[in-house]
Amino acid sequence: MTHRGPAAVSSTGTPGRLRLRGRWLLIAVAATVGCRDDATAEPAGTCGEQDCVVPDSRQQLLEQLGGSTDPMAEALRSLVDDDATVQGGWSAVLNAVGAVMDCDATTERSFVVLSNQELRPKAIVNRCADAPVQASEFFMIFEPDPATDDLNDVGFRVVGWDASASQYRRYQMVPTDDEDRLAVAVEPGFCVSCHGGVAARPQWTPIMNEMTEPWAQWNAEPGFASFAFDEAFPPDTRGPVFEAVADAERLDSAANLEPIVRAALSRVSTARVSSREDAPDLEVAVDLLRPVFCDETVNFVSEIHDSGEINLDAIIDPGLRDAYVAVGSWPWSWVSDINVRIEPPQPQQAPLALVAVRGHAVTAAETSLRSRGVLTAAQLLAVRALDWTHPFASSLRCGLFEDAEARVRAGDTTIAGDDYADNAGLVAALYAETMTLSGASLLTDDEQTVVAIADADDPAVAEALAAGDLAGLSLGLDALGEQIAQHIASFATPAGRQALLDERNRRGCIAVSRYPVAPIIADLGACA
Amino acid sequence: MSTARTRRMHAALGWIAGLGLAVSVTACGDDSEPASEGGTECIGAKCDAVDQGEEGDSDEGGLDAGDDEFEFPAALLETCEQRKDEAFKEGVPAFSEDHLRWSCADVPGTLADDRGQEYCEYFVIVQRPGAEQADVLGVIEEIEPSTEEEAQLIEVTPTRLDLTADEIEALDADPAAEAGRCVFTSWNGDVDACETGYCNEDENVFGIPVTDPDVFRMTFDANTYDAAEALVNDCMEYIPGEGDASNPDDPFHDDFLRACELNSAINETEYRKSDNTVCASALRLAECGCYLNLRTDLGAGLSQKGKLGFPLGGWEGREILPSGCRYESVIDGARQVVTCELTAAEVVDNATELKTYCAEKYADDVVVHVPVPAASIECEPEPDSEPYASTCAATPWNVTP
Repeated sequence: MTHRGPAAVSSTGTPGRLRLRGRWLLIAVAATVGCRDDATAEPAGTCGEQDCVVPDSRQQLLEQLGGSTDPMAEALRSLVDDDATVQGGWSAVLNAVGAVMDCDATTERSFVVLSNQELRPKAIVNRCADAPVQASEFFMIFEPDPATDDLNDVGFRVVGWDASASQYRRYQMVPTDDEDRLAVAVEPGFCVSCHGGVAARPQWTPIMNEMTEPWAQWNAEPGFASFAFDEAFPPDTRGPVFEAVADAERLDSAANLEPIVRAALSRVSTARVSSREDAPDLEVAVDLLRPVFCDETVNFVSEIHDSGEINLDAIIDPGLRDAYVAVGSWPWSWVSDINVRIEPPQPQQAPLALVAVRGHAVTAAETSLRSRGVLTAAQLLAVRALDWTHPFASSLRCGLFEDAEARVRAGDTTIAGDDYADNAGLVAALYAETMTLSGASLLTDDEQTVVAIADADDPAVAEALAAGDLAGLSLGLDALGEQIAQHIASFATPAGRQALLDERNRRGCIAVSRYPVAPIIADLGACA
Repeated sequence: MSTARTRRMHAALGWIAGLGLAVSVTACGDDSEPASEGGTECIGAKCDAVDQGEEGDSDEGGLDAGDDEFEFPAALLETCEQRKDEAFKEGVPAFSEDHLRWSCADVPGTLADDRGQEYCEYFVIVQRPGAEQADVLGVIEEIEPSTEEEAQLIEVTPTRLDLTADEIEALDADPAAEAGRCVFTSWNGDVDACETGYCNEDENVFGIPVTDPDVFRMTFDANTYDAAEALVNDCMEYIPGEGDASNPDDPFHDDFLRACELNSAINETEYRKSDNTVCASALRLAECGCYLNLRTDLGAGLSQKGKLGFPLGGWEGREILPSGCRYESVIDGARQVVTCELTAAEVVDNATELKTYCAEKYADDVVVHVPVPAASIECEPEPDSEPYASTCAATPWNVTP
């Protein structure tokens, strides 16, 4: 009680257009945005040519679709002709999917973002956009076409939610010799290198680099103002396809894509955690626990123009906040704040743009573990307190996980899948194994106390940690929360702003090197 | 019929240096003089009015402070500049010719139980699987009304939803199904819906009638019609500090900052987006000699007399809500209650603090609109008697940075 106070798909060397050379041909597909077909095979930022197969008959296509119940599969069943091609191009596909979803053309919206292919725009189209949950059943994605600088309207991609399998199904449209007909590759593998995160999970997960205002590289109008988008939009990329896909009537603000993507992420994380009650399987358990420690995905936040206001995720891990809220009531506003005020930019300074933060897909997966009792909030707090001034890309946290995983896989631990009733039990055991450092446990006996490490990169701290010396690192949640409050407040000064800018650049370099989907980040400076 | 305007009070007391005036914040009595008659309206948190001292009620403003005697405290200036940054955010300005607006999101730094500061309170309704009644989470309830001595005593219902394993399993069975709604309301705490229009008593959210004032009506005593009207009237009637004519950078020369300081002196609510926005417009209306050529005054006109409260909308338009949201018709055509969908998966994942989740997902995009009857406003600036009348534009309520 209180008082109020694809680029295109080409095997011929001709970028931009893929031509179907015959039936059952292997079609080389150059993945877009620097994605790889094997997360470990090539350095990020290069595009390997990859293959996908298109069926040569309706029967073969139907066999590939199997029992998929996603809107695209349903649409294809009625749309394809005997040669497994679709007539009428993207609008025909869109209308067919819309009919399946019972979402007519008036509910269609286009969202445009600057891609990391020289900032050429790409577009995402949804139906039933006013109903985000329903809209999240289907995405149509138009990549830039390097050959024309326009959007690629024959090599577009589609994903649809298959409720019966609790996963998204992927489709790559492929041009044919008949300009009015498109073939379709079902579940091409190359999508995973980007949409599976750095761990290359086989499940397609939506990517929206910027989920929060001001959506710097997205069209934010109407309703909000675009700034980096407008300033960086490449001239001569508004070709006829772009104008058709993203015409004024369809074009919508990223603000309205955000809830659709949130709904999609929720679908994926719920499906992911549903394996917790299955028979124990090390691969599954590792997949469940990894997001708690490692940044499989990345998101980006920007200062809201020159206001000095920025999403709190830039400074504090949202998982840390959520875990605090879950274990008690606290006197600090940061536990309920969404944004934070930092020192505003001086007139000659640019707003802080594209600060890498922990991925929403990752935090959603972590939240799903907590909310379903696989891990407790206290257990998650114990992780989040490690290297807590580095909410993103902590080598300490991810290193703990990778080391533990290696120990388990090498048989250097007592963990055996058969010892547990289900994956949840195995995850708990893996968690305990992971929370050790140089032989010392990072867990405390008291849930109100954690081993708190503010900066694991501090040389003195790093030396102590390497020696397994955790003396003096235990901290009550009250004291840690107060330190966090002071840490947040420190950014409301010119020095604090500069510190966040430095951190933004550090994280940006990591993001660009690790994540093929990372946007082009201006003024990053020299990355080591 | 024009409405005469009388400016009688000098409100920059707290920041006036060297005059030795006693300044204190007091709870108001029940006998406060109607603001339109020159007194300080005593409405809830807005009751925190400045004790003017004897001079405060003088017809001539009470104080004959020299121009160089006004100070703008640094901490206050910082807060006011933050509010100004928000008010003039690119693409989503708070001011226009025909409306004022701000989002339902509370400013950073707002404590959990204080959320709902912007003439917009929000909470969550969740329907558990098989439950007879829906859970109402994070709604503000009044325990004791404010008195002459004490501020309003409120309580916030729990924001945490403890789900059983069976309930989680049931919700997970159809994770995309709707299991709750975030509720945003601008229905004023002192307005009776059924006296305002035809009550849609059959309208409900998960079985809870939207006409139920204990749930869907705002509770904070600052979130009332009377408080809104008092805010407008006070900001029109009190005289703000005046900047140093020889210093062009004096913050008092800035219309928004000057109003923010005035609002702080009157209400101590400089931390609110809403109060500063309304006060800035009201102040400029006063400084520019504006009045309504209707049978009402600007205080009542801007405060939506006869309506449930300020209408809610989105940034894209007055009646364009964020996707996933809809109006709940407390009375026909009402736009003061908005609800936004929550899926079963979202309820499970965010059960520990659904109110925060609602704020994060929707509060920035649900917008309070204050319609301005621009066509009915006439202004007659008097630069000889009003320091800032010389800068009056054709639509002075549309404050510019």
